Amino acid sequence: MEWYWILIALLGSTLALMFIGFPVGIAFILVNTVAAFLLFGRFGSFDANMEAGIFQLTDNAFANMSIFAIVPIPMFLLMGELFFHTGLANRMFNAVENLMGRAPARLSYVTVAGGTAFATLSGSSMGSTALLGTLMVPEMTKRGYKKSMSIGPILGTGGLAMLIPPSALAVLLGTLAEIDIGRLLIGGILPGLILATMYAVYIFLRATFDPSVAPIYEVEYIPWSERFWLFLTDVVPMISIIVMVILLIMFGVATPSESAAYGSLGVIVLSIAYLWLVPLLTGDRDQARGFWPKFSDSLWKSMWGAARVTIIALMILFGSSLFSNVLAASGASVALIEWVTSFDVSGFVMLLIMFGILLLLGMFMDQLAMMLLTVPIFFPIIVGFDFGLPPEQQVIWFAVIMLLAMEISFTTPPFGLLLFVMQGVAPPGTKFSEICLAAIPFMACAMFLVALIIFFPPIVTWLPFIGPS
Amino acid sequence: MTQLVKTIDRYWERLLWLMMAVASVYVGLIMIAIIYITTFRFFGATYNLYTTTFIEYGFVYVMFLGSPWLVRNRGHVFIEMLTAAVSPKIRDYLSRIICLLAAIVCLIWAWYTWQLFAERWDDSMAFDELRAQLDIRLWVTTIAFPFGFFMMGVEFLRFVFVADTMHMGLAGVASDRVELEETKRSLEGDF
Repeated sequence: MEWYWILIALLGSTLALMFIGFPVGIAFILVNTVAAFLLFGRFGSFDANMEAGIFQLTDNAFANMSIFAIVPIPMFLLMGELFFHTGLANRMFNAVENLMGRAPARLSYVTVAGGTAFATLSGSSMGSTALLGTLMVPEMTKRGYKKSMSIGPILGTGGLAMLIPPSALAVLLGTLAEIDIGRLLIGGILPGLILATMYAVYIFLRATFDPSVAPIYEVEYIPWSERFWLFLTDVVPMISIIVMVILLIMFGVATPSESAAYGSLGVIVLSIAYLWLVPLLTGDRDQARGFWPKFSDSLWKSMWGAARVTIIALMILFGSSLFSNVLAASGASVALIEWVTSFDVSGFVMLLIMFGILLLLGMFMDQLAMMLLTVPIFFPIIVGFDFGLPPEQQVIWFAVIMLLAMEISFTTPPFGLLLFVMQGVAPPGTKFSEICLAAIPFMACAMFLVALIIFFPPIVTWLPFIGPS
Repeated sequence: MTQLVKTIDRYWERLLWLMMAVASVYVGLIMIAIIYITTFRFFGATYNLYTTTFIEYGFVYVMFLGSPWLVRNRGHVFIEMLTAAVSPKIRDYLSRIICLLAAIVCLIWAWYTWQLFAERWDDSMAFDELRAQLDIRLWVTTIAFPFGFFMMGVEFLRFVFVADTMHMGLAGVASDRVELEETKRSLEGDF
């Protein structure tokens, strides 16, 4: 059988199964089993062929999954969950809200900050959209905010969450594509800051030129001295942990898994300080006495949450890693790369084609599934093109573009999956067209960032390659 | 008869929860293991070599320990687009067919991986060659597969027969909705 028929059959059947609602991991396993039966089994009877296929896949799966490179996934997830369940993230979120004072469109900024924090730490921009859509949009509507200023920032946060460390999805992409996770995380910092600035500038300009979109309302005045103290106590310690994790990776002191494990330990120490030490020192004995039940509960919830998302990721990783093996064994992946590189197209055209494919897939797939389906094909192809960058920088650069493309695809009207999620949770009466219109400016910012990254790769590649790996 | 099935289901669910709890503790232990390795290495001390293997093998064990619980709680990633678009009656049929197919896939895997496990259990000379210095029997690498797949298969099969189908018809990714509900509960409205 020609390689392209094999490829079409493998990809087509996987996509079809996902589309009808098959669990993604099981869809991969089903397709792999059939493929392995046909590829590895040449022993005549059905039973012997199945044995050969599944025995081979089981050994491949164990070898693919029992590797140290996967450690950053549960560790970063654990760190994120600990931030949430110990109440530290919430504390920081509230502090940011108070620090804003009477700034115009303050709730829009707060939504960007909160949404980014939630989606970054949980690795789920859908969960973040649904949560903020439920909690923030009604509050903002009550304060007179227009849909463009309440729904738009929420839809925009997904892109930021993908980039800002410790992005769980970036870690997963790094693991799948077998690229330096530390450098990928650091590579996302500068684009993340640029995107956050673009969002802030857009919100500021919009609220300045048309104050009716985000009316100013009275909030309790907090003196500057108090705000400074709030910043020192409720923002700096939490930020320090994230910065420490990044610096440890950046300067080669620790690997991403090691720094994430120490980051988790840091969050535990900090929560002990906030929940037990501070109340004890300030004489709040009741709160200090209630420390253990609260702390053990948040520790349990964090481990449970981290395990839950890790298992989801591992199940898909299990299917997808076998999918790569089957693709390689069938000869389809090598033939595809040879075929693609035989065309006289520039790397940028190829980049645009891949970008288009990701936009298309984002209409009905989540990021994990998109990654698992495209990484085994896209990365080997992109390595074959010359973008004027050293190979190790080129893969990091492409990975950041891919992360952004996936998020943009999620929010691109009229079929982006996040738009439907938002419609499901937004207050009654919210029109789909309003959601689409709210998303457009933020998507435009993300698109502009992608263009910037394509034409000025150092935005991504400069920071990760300052220090040792 | 119905009472007996309900009792078995209750104990079975507790078993699934217990396995998920072990998987969660395992994740916490991986964190401690990494801190232990890193700290000992930093101070130039030697650490137990099995710690690395404990971490690496852990991913497969964690996955198979927690996956059945996730199936029951609609936690695995599946996309509700078609199932959200069709009528409830068609969704009901479609969901049950999907679960039946998923159950068959899992049970086939359970059967064949059991054969592999049994073969390796009997072979006293089969060791994990990738970690040759540790003398780990090869069946240790395979044991999680048959049990995990069998329990997942049973859980998918359960969705074929119970009143509540796996697909709820809410557009999006089901696991994110589960996460949303969990997060909402844990934040208790003070976000």
